[in-house]
Amino acid sequence: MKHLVGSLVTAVVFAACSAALPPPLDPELELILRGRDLFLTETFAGNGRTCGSCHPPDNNFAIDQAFVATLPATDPLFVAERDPNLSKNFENPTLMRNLGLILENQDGFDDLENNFNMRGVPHTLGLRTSIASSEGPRTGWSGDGSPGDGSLRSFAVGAVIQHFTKSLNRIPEVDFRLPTDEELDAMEAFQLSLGRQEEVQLPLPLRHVVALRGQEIFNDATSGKCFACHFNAGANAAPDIFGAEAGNLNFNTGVEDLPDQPADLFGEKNPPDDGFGTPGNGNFNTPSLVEAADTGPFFHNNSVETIEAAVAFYNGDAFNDSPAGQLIEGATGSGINLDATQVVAVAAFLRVINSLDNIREIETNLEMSRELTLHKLDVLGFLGQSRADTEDAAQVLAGGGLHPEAIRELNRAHAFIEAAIVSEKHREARILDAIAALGKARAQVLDETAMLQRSQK
Amino acid sequence: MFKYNIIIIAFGLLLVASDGYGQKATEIYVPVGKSPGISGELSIIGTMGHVEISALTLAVKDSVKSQDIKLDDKTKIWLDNSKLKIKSMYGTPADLREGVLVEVMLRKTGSGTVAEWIKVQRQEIKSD
Repeated sequence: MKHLVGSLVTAVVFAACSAALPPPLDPELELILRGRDLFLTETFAGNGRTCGSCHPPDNNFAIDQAFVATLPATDPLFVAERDPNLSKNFENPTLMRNLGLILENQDGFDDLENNFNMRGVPHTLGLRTSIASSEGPRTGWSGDGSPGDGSLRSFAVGAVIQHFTKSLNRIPEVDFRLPTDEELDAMEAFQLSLGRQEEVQLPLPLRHVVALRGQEIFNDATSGKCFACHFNAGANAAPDIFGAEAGNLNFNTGVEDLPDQPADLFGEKNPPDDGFGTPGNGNFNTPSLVEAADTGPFFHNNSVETIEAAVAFYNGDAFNDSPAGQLIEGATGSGINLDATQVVAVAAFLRVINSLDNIREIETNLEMSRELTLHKLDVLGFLGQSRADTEDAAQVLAGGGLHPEAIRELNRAHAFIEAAIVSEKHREARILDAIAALGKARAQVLDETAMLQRSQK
Repeated sequence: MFKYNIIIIAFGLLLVASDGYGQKATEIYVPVGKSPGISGELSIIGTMGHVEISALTLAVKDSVKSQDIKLDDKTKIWLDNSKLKIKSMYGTPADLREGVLVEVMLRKTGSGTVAEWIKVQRQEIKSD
């Protein structure tokens, strides 16, 4: 009898313990989560900054002046404003706070007073599809942002040296520590996991007539010609024009020749940026456009604020007189010359595909939250990012006067996600509600029947 | 319609114009043997052998062999002062002395292979 009771107790205890143990985590997911933790919390023994200081997940992994304005004075982003070791030649607080610009010494550290450039912070979304090229990986605004082998994996080493240092001496093991191989692997895995994992396949069966027209102009070799460098609205060059292996390319589009650049108007020292190489050749890297509409300001120097203005840039003299503009003119017989309504149409297309990408990303992160809950891991970061992305998606559409019904569903999704954040008890149910609302939002923007038919062909 | 030949030729011209090295300016602060994806894979780490600056050649001996290396006017020379806990700095050919530990990254050119960069690990400060 005693033996039977003992066996029963053992069985009950064993069952209880087994029920409490989460299932093992997929090794790839584990690496990504490790990378996320490093990216957001590891200071590498430096000045307190993390990768997340300039690439915060709740702001599409980039910073702009509006986001900067929400940060407390003690945020490590502002270390140059309070640390005497970094008060000169490390950042320009005026340009950071007003334009979201950071200081880079990509041409060398021999003359910090004069040899620098002010650049925007590029987002880290969709990297899996947007940095490979026949010339090697292209990272950063001029496509040459990594030390070592130039890979995304090595990028963190350069970033730590440039941005995390405690002093301008930049001495390893004094001013910072270099990431280990394990840390580089994890951070690379995390960064590659962000955003879309494959190219969008245009044309999409969009519901809004203006966005649909914008897509036509985008892909028209006699009109917008955008597809040539932004094939499928991504970061890669059109294979039929530049070759199947071209991938992500650099071009000199004349952004540096824009008059009245905001950074210059502030009267701060702002040396010309010569782009790729030392000395530079004037070329800058092609960013992806799927993620563009909610990651402004635009271009390497944040010189243009809105997506409409970014599209309109290609009508102007700066672009059409540039080497890239001349290339387009020589190849097609004319430059780019869109009228106002056409600019708006292309921008509407970019707004709509950005909102679709946001919806996709939110769904991915909500599913991730459900997965992590099973493993009893913290999900608030993913939920917070999802909440921010619903706001972005709604604002992107609203900014173009597009899809009010989709905006309503996105706002509902936002509310559900907010409820999921607040209540652990009802989290699963609210996440499912949010996913349902997102599906409705997508259905307002995209003809899903046509998409399904296309995928079945 | 795009005229493909023009695009390809012009694109090639755009590429040729570049230095190809790019912003690896932060490399100066990466100690010998710590360059990600380079050290132990694509670079040569060893002891400086004979140096002929006038001929722009030097030899580096690693654990296996001695290798002659050419320099050109684009070769970057950096002094890795990390072990001294002082700031690394740009060097000159005069810093390429026999017996010092170096790491050399090679670059292909039209006429062969040259040193892209040379890091000289300084263990002590020599007073001149």
